[in-house]
Amino acid sequence: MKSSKKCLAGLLAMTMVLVMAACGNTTTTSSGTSPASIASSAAPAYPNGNITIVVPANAGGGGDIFARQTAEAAKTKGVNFLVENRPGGGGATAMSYAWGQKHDGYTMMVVTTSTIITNPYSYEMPNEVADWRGVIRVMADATVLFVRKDSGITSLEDFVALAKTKKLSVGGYSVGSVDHIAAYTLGKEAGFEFEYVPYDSGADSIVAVLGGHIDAAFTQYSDLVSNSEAGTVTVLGSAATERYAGLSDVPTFAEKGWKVPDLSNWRGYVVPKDVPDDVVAALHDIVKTAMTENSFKEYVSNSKLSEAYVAPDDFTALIQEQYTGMGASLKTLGIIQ
Amino acid sequence: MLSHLFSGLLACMNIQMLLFAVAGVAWGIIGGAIPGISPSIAIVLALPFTYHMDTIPSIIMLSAVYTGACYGSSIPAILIGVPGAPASAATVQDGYMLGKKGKGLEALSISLTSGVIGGLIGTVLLCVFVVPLGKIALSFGAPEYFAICILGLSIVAAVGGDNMTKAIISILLGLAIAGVGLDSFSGVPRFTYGFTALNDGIDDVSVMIGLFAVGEIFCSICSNTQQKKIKISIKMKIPFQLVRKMLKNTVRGGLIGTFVGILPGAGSSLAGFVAYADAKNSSKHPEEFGHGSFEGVAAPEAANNGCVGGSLVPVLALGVPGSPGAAMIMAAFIMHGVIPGPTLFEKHPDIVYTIFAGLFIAQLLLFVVGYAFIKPLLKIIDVDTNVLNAVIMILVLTGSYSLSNRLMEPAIVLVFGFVGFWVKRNGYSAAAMVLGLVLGGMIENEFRRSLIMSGGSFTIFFTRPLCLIILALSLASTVWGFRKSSGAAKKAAAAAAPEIPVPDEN
Repeated sequence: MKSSKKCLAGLLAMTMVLVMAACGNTTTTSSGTSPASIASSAAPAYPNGNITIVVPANAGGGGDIFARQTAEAAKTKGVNFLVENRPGGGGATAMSYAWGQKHDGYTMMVVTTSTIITNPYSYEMPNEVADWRGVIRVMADATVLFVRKDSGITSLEDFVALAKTKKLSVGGYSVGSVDHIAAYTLGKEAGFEFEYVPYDSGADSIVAVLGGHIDAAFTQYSDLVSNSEAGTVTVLGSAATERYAGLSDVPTFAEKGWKVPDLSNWRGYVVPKDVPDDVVAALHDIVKTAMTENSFKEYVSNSKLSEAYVAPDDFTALIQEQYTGMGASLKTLGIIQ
Repeated sequence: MLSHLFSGLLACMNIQMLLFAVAGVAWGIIGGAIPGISPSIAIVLALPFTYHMDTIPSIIMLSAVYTGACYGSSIPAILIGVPGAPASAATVQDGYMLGKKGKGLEALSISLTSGVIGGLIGTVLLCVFVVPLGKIALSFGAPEYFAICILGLSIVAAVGGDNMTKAIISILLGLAIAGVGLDSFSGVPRFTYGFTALNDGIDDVSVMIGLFAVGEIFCSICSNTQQKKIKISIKMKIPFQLVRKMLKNTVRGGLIGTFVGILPGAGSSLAGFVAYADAKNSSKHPEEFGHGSFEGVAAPEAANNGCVGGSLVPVLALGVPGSPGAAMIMAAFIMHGVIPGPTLFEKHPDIVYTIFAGLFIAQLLLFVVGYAFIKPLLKIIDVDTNVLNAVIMILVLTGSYSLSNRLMEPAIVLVFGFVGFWVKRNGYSAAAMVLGLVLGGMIENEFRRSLIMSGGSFTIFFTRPLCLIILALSLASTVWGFRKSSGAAKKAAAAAAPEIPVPDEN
């Protein structure tokens, strides 16, 4: 008798929580798009209320700070953004949440290269990449090749020459990441072989280079700033198509004649593809004006990122192009079939 | 340096800073005590409050949260046998036994004082030796990390309880669970059976919550014996004599914690386990370990608080985080436009020394606030088990759901709840399983990384002096640990035989 009561208490608690969690799910999915909601939201006075920014990461992550700085800067123009963190599933959690809201431009999502270019190949996403349209690309964090200061290597040419005489070990974050693709493409283009050493985080690969355990590594420049400024590492080149503002003295691989695509980790905003054109245009204008705010400019320069503005339609095209290109690279590397 | 530190202390000594620090420590303790809120999540949750603060108060508040959370996770470990975070997985064995014996007050006091002393050791080492300690972190490459993991495995004899075979089976199970998910070198899914939800692997926090919390609840539901009400003396007094007796273990634990904390990625749970094993192997009464030994609480508690200082070493010396918690503090720096790393000392020495001062103050406040928490917390033991079980169930299921907002995590918690139940019933070791799980992923990755570095040759593990030394230490620790533990187990069996009747199997 006593023990059945005990069981009951435990079971009740369990059911309650599961029901709560299940309800949480249904409310997000059932509030999907209805034609009426789109029609009513296309009223001329956009934005008329708060706009939610969905962040596919926890508070404190790069994407989160980005969203909050945008919100802060837009506030001075009288637009109120609410930041909502939906971490998990490599961005899948945020995507299904953003997709589940009305497609009326009052919900937009932060995207980075990893959420929409690389992760769809390793995580199961609720939508196709083509289901999203770009609002604006705001900035980029260049993927750079670096070595330890006392390695004796001072330029990209030195590095390639050395790499042709002996097999160097080159680190980076994980396999199938922008770091991995950058290393692979550079090796192929410049004609050298190397051992790619994947690390669990960009930080780990920096420590391995500093400690002299590997010869070089690829990482995003913002992670490297303090070491680059302290002169403990030499940044040799970047996998970008043009020199970003914060990295004007570092050559790109492209300008040396090696066809390495732009593998920066950029940040921008997308909305579902059926959000009307005029709403996207209005949203784009809000964020673009916010980018000119001093607080936002200060944030970009403090975190050593580079402004890398791309307009809505070009951004949509860029996402598609990079996504397809990434698929091709991952296939040649044997990471996906 | 002393003058800098002094001005840092002055900067912290105003009512506003102290309020932020007290609030930080208090939230840290509460957050840390809730299963599913790890120190890094406790910091994440506090982060939005600091968006509009200045750099220094926000960093002080977040370090205070970190300090509080590292201590807080041991409170439920001692009171209800549920570690709030993996860092307290080593504490739970002895802490909970002490709680059951009615020595909850003493155990909590030891956990608090050892935590504070360990934290102070970590902070002092951080202040004085941050640059040389950063160099130590650099001397660890993949082979050395691999060796450290092996050293971690070698302590299974000490943490795995009385039955050696079952301890080894438990740790192997833990290692096997760590193999689930995408292979981090080739991206191939392993043991996922088509469930993409398993691609990320099985989260060690969910497993730990399931094994300890839900397992314990299932056990208490099924046990027919009426739980004995334990009367605890409500005389609140720190048992200073006991604290003094634990001092040696506490200091060793604090040093181990700081050192393991310095190594990026090694983690505070490993620190706790290593300190526990060290305490057991150097103890005069190893047979008490696992049955309610104060030494088994003091050492891991000092270690996981020592980790706080240690894990900030890579942030300040190298510009890379040493733990998920430190990564969050680093994010707060960056958000305020301060880039941590080797240039910080030249550019913003004021910030660096204010952080040091803030950490000192956070440790002292931890003692004050933690002390105030003990008495009301002890009342938890008096709550009716049925009610308590229901509340814990709600907390752990919602907590695990919040880890990644997927139903996968509560499912893992429930599955491992049954595993935990089976483990407890049959004398296997949940702690050893967590140890295996924590180390599993690291061992594999560091091993494969080493082989990539050496072009496939195993000599890399024997030609690097530091790696060879650690491997030799692991061998010694294995042999020594097994000898010591089998001796202790015999003693314990002999001591316990007349008292404990044959367990009722229903």
